[in-house]
Amino acid sequence: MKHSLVISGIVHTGLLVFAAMDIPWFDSVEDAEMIVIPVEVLPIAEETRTMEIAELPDPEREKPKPPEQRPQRVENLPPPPPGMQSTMPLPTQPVEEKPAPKPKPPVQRAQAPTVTPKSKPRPPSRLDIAALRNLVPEQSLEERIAEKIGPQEQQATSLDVQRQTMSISAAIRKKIEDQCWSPPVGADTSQSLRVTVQVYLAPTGELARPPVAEDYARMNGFLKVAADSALRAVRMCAPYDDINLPKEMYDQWKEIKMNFDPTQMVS
Amino acid sequence: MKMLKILIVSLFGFIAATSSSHAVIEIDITRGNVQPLPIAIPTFTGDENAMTAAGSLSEIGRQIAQVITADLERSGLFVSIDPRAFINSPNNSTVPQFANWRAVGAQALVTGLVNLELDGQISVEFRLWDVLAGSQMRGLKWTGSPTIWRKIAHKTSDAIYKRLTGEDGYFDSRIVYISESGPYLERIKRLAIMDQDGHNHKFLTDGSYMILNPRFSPVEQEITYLSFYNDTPRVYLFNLESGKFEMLGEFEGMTFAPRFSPDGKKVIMSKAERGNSDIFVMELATRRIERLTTHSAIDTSPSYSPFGRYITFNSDRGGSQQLYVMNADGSDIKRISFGDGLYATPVWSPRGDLIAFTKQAGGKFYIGVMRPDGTGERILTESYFEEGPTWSPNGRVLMYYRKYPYDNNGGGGETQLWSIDLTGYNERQILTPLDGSDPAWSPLMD
Amino acid sequence: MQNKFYAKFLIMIGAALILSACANTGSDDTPVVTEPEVAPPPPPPPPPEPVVMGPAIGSQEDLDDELPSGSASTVHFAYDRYDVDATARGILQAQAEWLKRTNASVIIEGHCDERGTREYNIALGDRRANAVKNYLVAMGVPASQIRTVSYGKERPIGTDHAANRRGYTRVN
Repeated sequence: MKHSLVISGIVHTGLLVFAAMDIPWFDSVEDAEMIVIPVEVLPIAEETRTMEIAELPDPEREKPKPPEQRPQRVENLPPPPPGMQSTMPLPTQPVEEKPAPKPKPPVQRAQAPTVTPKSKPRPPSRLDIAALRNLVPEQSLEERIAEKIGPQEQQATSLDVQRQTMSISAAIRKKIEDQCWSPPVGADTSQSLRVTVQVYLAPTGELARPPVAEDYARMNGFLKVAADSALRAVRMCAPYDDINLPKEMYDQWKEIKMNFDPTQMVS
Repeated sequence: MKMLKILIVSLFGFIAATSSSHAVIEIDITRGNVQPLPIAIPTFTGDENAMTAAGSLSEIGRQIAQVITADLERSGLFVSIDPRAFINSPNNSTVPQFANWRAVGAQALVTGLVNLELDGQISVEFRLWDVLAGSQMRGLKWTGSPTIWRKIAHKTSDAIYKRLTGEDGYFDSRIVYISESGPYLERIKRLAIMDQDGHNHKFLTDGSYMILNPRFSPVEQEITYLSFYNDTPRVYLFNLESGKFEMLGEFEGMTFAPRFSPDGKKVIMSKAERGNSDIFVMELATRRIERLTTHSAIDTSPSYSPFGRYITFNSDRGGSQQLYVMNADGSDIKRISFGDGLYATPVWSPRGDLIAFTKQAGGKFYIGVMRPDGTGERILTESYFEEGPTWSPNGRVLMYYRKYPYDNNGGGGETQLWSIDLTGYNERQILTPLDGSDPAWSPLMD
Repeated sequence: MQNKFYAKFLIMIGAALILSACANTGSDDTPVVTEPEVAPPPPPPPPPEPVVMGPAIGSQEDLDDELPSGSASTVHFAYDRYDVDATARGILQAQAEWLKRTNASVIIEGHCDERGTREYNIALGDRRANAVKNYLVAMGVPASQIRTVSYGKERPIGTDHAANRRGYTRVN
């Protein structure tokens, strides 16, 4: 009984002490609540100035590229053009656009509509790249023969021309789709991202001049990005000398219209 | 005579038509391989002898290039070229030797220059180049204190991202989240904030009381969240600039699940009265509160559409947790989720075209998206437990948290922040000093 | 007999814990109560006496002991449910008797397992706490004695989901 009194006493003392400390305890939490680490917010709008910087004039720009060679380490960069050291906005200078190389004299023009008649019917163009690859040497052999024999001996039909251009189309399409085009897959699917690009080929299969996306100057946002991706694809795939482009048909393929449409890719 | 003329003209017309008809090949390109864009980001040039509070200009330039590289790579849309492959280092004031950059596989190139201004500020200018076309795509110059070089780097990443993807960036943004530590019986949950890439990490509360479900204001440097301060769960408002916070209204019942309206002037939340949770909206200026739902079921996790016209929320009024959409005044409530399982935490995309959610089915949890009318449901990720998606400011990336099961040895139960691209690719963990949950993305900073 | 002795012992430990908890949370510059005042050297344990003495009337331990089997402080719920089942009703009847007898004020905590989202579980915990409260009030306990709070899934007592889905009556 005595012991229980002692225990009771201890417990009560404990509770009293607890009660006494109770109030300051909550106060101290209240204080702790106010000690909050403020986050430094940087009003960059005030502290920073932003300006657009103009393009550097580029004498090299738009010059058709030579066929890719193994580039060599350039030790000394050419000295920058005068005035280029300034960090002030650079004046927009008109780009000196080198004239595109003159179209080759149309030596083959007379031959253009004429194609070798085929000893056997050409297989219909398919998207099977292996089949297309197989076609290439065979076809060029035919053409070499055709060149030797001369066009006057054989008359091409428009159907043949059509077949040939179809296989050229299929081969170019295959190359660009398989190897070069990374479509823009922004999540926004609300607008059409179809872009038409004019491609100008030299007889060698290189780009004769820069590809042009129709209406590019008026584009912005996703559409411009889509056009950029199309232009990159056309450039990435150049030169097109790995595709059989019959010389005598240069007129047919020197200008190619490519319609890039990522709609199927997005969904 | 006249007939002949017509004949000749029509003959010429015929010839012209036939010759032009075979002059141009037209090709439709409809497929491709989606690849991250190869981009080269050499060190921004700067004078190594010019010192600032944040180091030499050359050091700042090196770090800026690293931050940009990390930002763009984390997006999954770019792959950076290893600088060791670079053939030459560019000089920002000359046009790059594009052939050299093309040779290392770069399709885009970023060059930059750091200068010291007379007033002690630094200026950072960068140019984004189209390597294949050999032309400049974007050029910008920032000026600011040397100590905010990191912010300048993120803003540069945003500008590059925007020019190359057409979408606004999200790199100059922050994440507020719940930092978790301690064993599961005494888990400490406190408010923390960091840059989107994990830098500048700070704890905002000391952990003496529990904080959950923080959300960023879309317009102010403000956070709203659920606090268990004084053992009384209530919605609070925290001002990041002043460091002050306050309880949002004195109510008898619990308030929770807060989220700002798109204009930042209102907070929508759940309020529980005698065990029944409904959705209310509070005007911050007047603290006037208005009831939006009246139902004996649980109505919670409300989220506004980007223009504030609609609200999506979570309710079990149909017998199980599903997603609903209603007008902002509480009228015209429609259920939108009809798949198998339970749906929760709907969050409207900043673009408005999608609602992200947590789904629970077959003993697993999922993060997915659907259109606001409930169609087009797409699951992005799944695990033992994950919940609470938050959108990047551009509506392209979702962040959420994942919790691992406890193992038999008393371990496990970790919580981690993860993010995934809306396409379902590029899932990656966001590293935090301790465990993390309930991430909330800030808007893009000014 | 022995139970009672343990109970006494527990109270002592409890008191000591309360004190040490206070010491921990007290601010650093206020020194803690000096030891001699608090705990005189413990007397040698007395020989067990046939004392009839339980936990302090109205304490948490007192409520726990209200039922011979298991704790009378906790009721459990089925997954995603908040209805009070037969087992829970038995426990709550005992709680109600105890509350009426002691006039103690209590906080009823609603808890959930971790298989749900945070926000929904906060709401569900609130439902559970209120389901317990409503039952007690229906049994005649004055509502003024009862407060509720939901911790959602944030305060588990273990890794067993079923054990975590609970309503806990905490003596204030």
